[in-house]
Amino acid sequence: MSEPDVELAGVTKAFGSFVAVRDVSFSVPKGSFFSLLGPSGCGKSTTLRMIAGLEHPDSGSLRIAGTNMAGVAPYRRPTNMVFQRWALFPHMTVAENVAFGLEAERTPRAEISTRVAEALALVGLATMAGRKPGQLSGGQMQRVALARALVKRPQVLLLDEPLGALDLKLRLQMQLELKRIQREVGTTFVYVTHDQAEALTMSEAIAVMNDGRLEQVGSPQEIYDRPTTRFVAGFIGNANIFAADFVPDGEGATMVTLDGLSFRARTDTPLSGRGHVALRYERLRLATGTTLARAVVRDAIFTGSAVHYVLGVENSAVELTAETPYDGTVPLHQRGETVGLSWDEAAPRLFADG
Amino acid sequence: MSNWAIRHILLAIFTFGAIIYIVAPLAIVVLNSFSSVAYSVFPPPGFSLRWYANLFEQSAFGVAALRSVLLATLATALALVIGTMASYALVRHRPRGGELIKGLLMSPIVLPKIVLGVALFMFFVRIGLINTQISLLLAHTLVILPYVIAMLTAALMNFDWSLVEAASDLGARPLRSFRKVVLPQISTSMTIAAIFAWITSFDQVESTIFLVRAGTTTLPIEMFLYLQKWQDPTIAALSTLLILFAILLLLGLDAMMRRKRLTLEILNRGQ
Amino acid sequence: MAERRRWGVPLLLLAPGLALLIAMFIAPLMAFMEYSFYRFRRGRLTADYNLDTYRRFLTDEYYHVIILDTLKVATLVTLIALAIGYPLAYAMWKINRPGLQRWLGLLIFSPILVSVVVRSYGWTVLLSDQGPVNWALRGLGLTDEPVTLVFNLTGVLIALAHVFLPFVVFPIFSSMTRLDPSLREAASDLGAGWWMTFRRVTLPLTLPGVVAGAQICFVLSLGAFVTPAMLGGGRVLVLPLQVYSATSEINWPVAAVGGLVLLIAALLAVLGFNRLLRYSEVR
Repeated sequence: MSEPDVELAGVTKAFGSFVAVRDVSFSVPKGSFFSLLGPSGCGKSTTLRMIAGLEHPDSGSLRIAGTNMAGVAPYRRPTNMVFQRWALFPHMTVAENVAFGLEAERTPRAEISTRVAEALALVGLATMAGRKPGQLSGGQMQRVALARALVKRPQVLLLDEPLGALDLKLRLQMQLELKRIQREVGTTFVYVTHDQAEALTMSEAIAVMNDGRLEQVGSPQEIYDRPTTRFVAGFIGNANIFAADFVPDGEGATMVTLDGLSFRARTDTPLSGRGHVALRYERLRLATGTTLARAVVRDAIFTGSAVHYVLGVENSAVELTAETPYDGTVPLHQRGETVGLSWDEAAPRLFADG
Repeated sequence: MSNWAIRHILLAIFTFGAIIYIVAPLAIVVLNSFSSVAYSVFPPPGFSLRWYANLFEQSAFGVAALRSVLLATLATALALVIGTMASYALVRHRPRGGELIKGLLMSPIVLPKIVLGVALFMFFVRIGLINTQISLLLAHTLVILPYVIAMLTAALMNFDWSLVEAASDLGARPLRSFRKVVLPQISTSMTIAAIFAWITSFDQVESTIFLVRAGTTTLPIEMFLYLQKWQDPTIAALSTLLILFAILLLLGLDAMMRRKRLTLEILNRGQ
Repeated sequence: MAERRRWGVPLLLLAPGLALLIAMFIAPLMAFMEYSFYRFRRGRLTADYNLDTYRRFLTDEYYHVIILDTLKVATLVTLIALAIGYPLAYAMWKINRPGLQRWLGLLIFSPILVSVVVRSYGWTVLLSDQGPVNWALRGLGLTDEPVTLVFNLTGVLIALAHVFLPFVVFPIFSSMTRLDPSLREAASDLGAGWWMTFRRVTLPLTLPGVVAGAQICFVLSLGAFVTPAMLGGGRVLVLPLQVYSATSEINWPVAAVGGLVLLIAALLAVLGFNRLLRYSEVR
């Protein structure tokens, strides 16, 4: 296994009394598409900027390609950044923008021309070389920023929520573009976003952050199926999360009890005491056979490809949301209908308090 | 030593030098006002308050000072009224030819003041209204009007007119909505404009030097004429008082900027 | 009172301003222009319309020198003010603490609060043969004889640059604060050191501020009167001084034509700089 391209160990950063990044450690595998995911203010952008050298950690170590980056200025690091609002130089043309980094390296003129042309072709903007940023659309500016950073063939490419300013359709399109380019070029991408769907779509590995701390690192499927903290369970995808009591139930299982509901959950080690249980919307099945509970349909929300049912469990104050795919054949359940609910024993995720 | 450190040290030294350059002429005046001798020499041989005593014996300066203050205050008030009305009309109603009118109203700023001063002189001699107080007042008002218009048009352009529409919808007549809705919002800009206007009026020399006669001059003109004949530190004493006044004004500005969290942009708009 | 004729209200509001403009600006300028055609001979002013004064301004070497000197002073003052003002604005921009920044800004601004007469007087004292500057120069062993810094062009330039420094600093500072910080970060990220970032990003993008400041400084320098009068020692004859003395001598045609030339110069300068401003922004 080759050396990781980026390695953070115990990195902490505070701005005055506000601690933005708290003891964060993770490794970014070489050549991977790695995302930093979390809500606004969780410290992901600060972490990215520390990798770029635009901020410096108060404590901890940061290594890029094995070398410690303490005290190293941005223009001496093997990283390049695609800024959130692209930061294109408004007084230079597209070609001049892309050439800027190569001029800083004092690359010979002829080589600059070829590499700029290459980079623009890579992002599909070969015909826009002479335009100025003011004449480009958001998506085009986005691609110039990408070309400008990639033309330098950095070891690590850092992207700071680059698609945030684009509209939905364009964003989805660009996500696939970025993945294609990353695969083609093979550079390690570190991608910051607050959009969990985006992270799941694009990444090979995701680091979820919250309030300055690292919650979990793993592949998209790991994060989704086996969240290790309550925050991750709630932030990724949609889940019903409740406080509950745990009682061990033989090896590898725990009994979960909450207001009127009691069910068995498969766990690696049996848990006891208070905690939280998370049940994903789509893991709840509206069944007719053996059920774990019965509930009344309070609302049916049609989202196009799926239906969300808001259900009130019988003899309980618990309200659950279930998601069933919509294929146009099964009629929707109506408000007031009573339905049966069931789910797989492996579906609930348990998080013990304390 | 690192590049970064060298740069910062050089910049700091330069800034320090620039600050000395800025403060030096004023500092030397203050120092000189306490000199014991009539000729200017550095370092001053002794300390004395005789120039202040001399200053207060000369009533001409006191009268001129009073006239300058009165003139500046009246001209500022007049300019505020005229300027606010004009700015409101230009921004709110956008009449045809508004750009031209605004340009005309602002033009006294780029005009070399001596030309205005001479033109006013010739004009008033011609129509026989020379040496009246009203001509002096109107001349000052004209000169400071552009400052008021510059600041107020900027403030009104940033104004949310939907507030006036809401007031109108709630039954307020135009004058009332102006008084209760617009005026409070632009009061900061008006204050700053008033300060700039007042200072400018107080500082007018060449635009009004031909409109005044001995005994009815304004303070800067009185000082200018005095300095063409004598160079003793009496002027230094007077200047020190004016500098003191300016420092008080500065502290007031600083307090206001801090309270209203204004940025230095305000000082730029007044230019 | 329902919706009246829309043009009634703005006209009413603009009326006093326009009236003031006509009475105190347009009419005087017209009278002024009229006197440019008068004749002044043997100390007497007569309404004998002619173009002699205009001809003399266009042909007489004496007047050419005055006009050129005026332009020379304005140009030099602007260059000096920019040379001091740009780094000063940069320093102010780079200050991290807002309180300190505000104080520096107010300090730079403060001379405006003091009358130009006082400021010019201060410079006559400061630059005099027995003054602090010469005292320091002698103390540092740089000269034996006092250097004449006052009542000549040097004194005028130093003092005028001082007067107009704030007018140069603030537009430049303003354009610096409007500079998107991520642009400088991007330049650094792409490998540019401080000098390359300054040369390729900061300077071109703050150029509009420089041009705006230069415009104000140049136009105001053209019309400067008090400072050249007090510091020139009679050796710096710029157009405003010429107009003043001509008016005092009742040689109103010369005063009028001189003033007209000054007006045209100011107007051309404003327009010229406007063009330069637009060019510097589009870049």
